Amino acid sequence: MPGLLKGFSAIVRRDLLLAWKRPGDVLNPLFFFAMVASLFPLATGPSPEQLMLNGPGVVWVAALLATLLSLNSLFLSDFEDGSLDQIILSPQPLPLLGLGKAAAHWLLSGLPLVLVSPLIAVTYRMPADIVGVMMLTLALGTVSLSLLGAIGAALTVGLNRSNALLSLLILPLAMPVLIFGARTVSLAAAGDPVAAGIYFLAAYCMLALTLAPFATAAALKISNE
Amino acid sequence: MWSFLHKLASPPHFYGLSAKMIPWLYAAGLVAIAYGTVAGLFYAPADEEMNDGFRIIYVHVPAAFISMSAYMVMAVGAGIGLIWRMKLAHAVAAGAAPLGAWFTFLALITGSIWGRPMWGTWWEWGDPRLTSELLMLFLYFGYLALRAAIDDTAKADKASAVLALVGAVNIPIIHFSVEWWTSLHQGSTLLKAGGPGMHPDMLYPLLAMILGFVLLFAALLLARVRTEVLHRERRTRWVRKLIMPAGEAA
Amino acid sequence: MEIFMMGKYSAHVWSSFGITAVVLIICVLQAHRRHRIVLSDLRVRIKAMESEQ
Repeated sequence: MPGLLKGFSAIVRRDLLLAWKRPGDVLNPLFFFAMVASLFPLATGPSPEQLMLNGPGVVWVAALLATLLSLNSLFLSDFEDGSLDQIILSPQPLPLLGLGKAAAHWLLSGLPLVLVSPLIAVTYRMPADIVGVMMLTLALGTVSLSLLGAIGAALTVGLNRSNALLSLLILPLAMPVLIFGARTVSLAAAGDPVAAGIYFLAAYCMLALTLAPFATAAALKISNE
Repeated sequence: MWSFLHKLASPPHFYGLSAKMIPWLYAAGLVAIAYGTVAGLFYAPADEEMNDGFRIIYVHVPAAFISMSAYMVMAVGAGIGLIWRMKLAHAVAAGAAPLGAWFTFLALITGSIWGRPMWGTWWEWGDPRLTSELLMLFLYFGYLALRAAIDDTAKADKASAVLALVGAVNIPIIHFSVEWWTSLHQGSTLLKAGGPGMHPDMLYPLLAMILGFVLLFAALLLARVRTEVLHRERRTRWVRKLIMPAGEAA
Repeated sequence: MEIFMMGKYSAHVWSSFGITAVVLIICVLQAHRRHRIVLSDLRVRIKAMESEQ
C-alpha cells in the first residue's frame, strides 16, 4: 500500500519538528531523569557499595518516571489545536498513526534517556561493560513504555485531572518492564547471565509493537467522541 | 438456550431474573462458607509446619481466587461490551471492579497476616503471590480511577473497557515477571496452600470455602449490576413502570 | 477452649477470619445500600416528572 510509509513518516516528522520548536518538551524530562537519579544518593548517603547496589534500580526508576512525565503531553497539543480530530479522521489506518506517535515519542524521550544514562551510571560507579547492558535494557524498555504509554495517554486525553491518572494507569502495566530491565542490569553487575532478561524485554517489546497501536487507536476514538 | 441468553441480555429481564436468583445465591454461599469455616477451623488436621496457623488459607485462598476471577469477569464483560456493544456487559464490568478490589485487598491482608509468623514481617517482597496481588490491586485502582474521571457513562464504559483488556493481557506477564524476580531473591518463601498432596480433610473445607466465595461473589455481582442497570436505564419506560406502577401517582 | 486457641496462632487466624467477615458484610451492605439509594432517587425523580405532566 503506497501511502502507509508516508503517513507514518509524516506523523513522526511533524512531532520531531514541533519538538524542535519547543526544546523544553524534550529537555525537561531529561533533566527530571538526572535529578531523580541524584535524589537517591542525597537521600541515602554516598557509600560506594550502596551506590553500586542501587545503581541499576535507580536508573530504571528514574527513566520510568521521566517517561511518564513526557507521556502526559503526548496527545495534548494535538487535542488542543484540533489536529487530533484530523488524525482520527485521516484515511490512514489509525493504528499506524498511533504507532507513529509512539515512535516519535521514543525518539524524543526514550532515545535521549538511553544516551544520557551512561553519565548517570558513571556517578553510580557502574563498570563500563555493565553500562552496555544497561543501555540495551533501557532501549528495549523505553520502546515498550512509549507504546504502552500511548495507550494511557490516548485514554486520558482531554480529561482535566489527567496528570496522576495517567501514571496510575500505566505503572502497573510497566512493572514487568521495570522488573526485567533493572534486575537484568543487576545480574550483569553480579556476573550472572543476562540472556533471559534481554530476551524477555525484546519479546515484550515485540508484543507491544504488535498490539499496542490497536489499543491506542481504539482509545483515541473513544476519547474523542 | 440461546433465547434464554438473549432474553437475559435485555435489561428488564435481567433485572427481574437476578432479583429471584440473589437470595438463593446468598443462601447457598452462606451454607458452603459455614461448612467450610467450621470444618476448616475445627475439624481439619493441623499442618506439620504451621500447626493451626495454616487455617488462614481457608480465607486467603478463596479471596485470592475471587480477586483474579473478578478481573476475568470484568475483562470479559468489558470485551463483550466493547465488541458487541451490549450495555449489560458494561454494567457487569462496572459491578465487578469494586468487588474485585475488595477481595484483592482481603487477599493481601490475610496473606500478610499469614506471612507474619513465617517471615517475621508484615510484608515480604520476596513472595511472588503477594507482590502480584498488590500489582493487581493497582490495576483495579487504575480502572476505578479512569471510570470515575470520565463523566459520560458510555465513554467511561468504553475507555475503561480498553484499559481492562490491556490489563488482562498484562496479568499473566506480571505474574511471570514477579515469579522470575522473586526466584532471584535468595531464600524466598512461598505461601504454600498445602500443595497438591493435600489431605482430603484439609482439602474439602477449602473447596467449600472457594465455592462459597464464588456463590457470594455471584450474588454481590448480580446485586451491583442490578443497581447499575437501574441507574443506566432510568429514563426508559420499563423503569418508570417499575417505580411507579400504573394506577399510582397523577 | 483449647480448640479456639489455634495453637499459638489464635490472633492470626481469628483476625483473618474476622477481617474477612467484616469485608464481606461491608460488601453486602454497600451493594444493597446503593440499590436503595438509587431506587429512592429514582422515585423522587419520576414523581417530579409525572407531576409536571
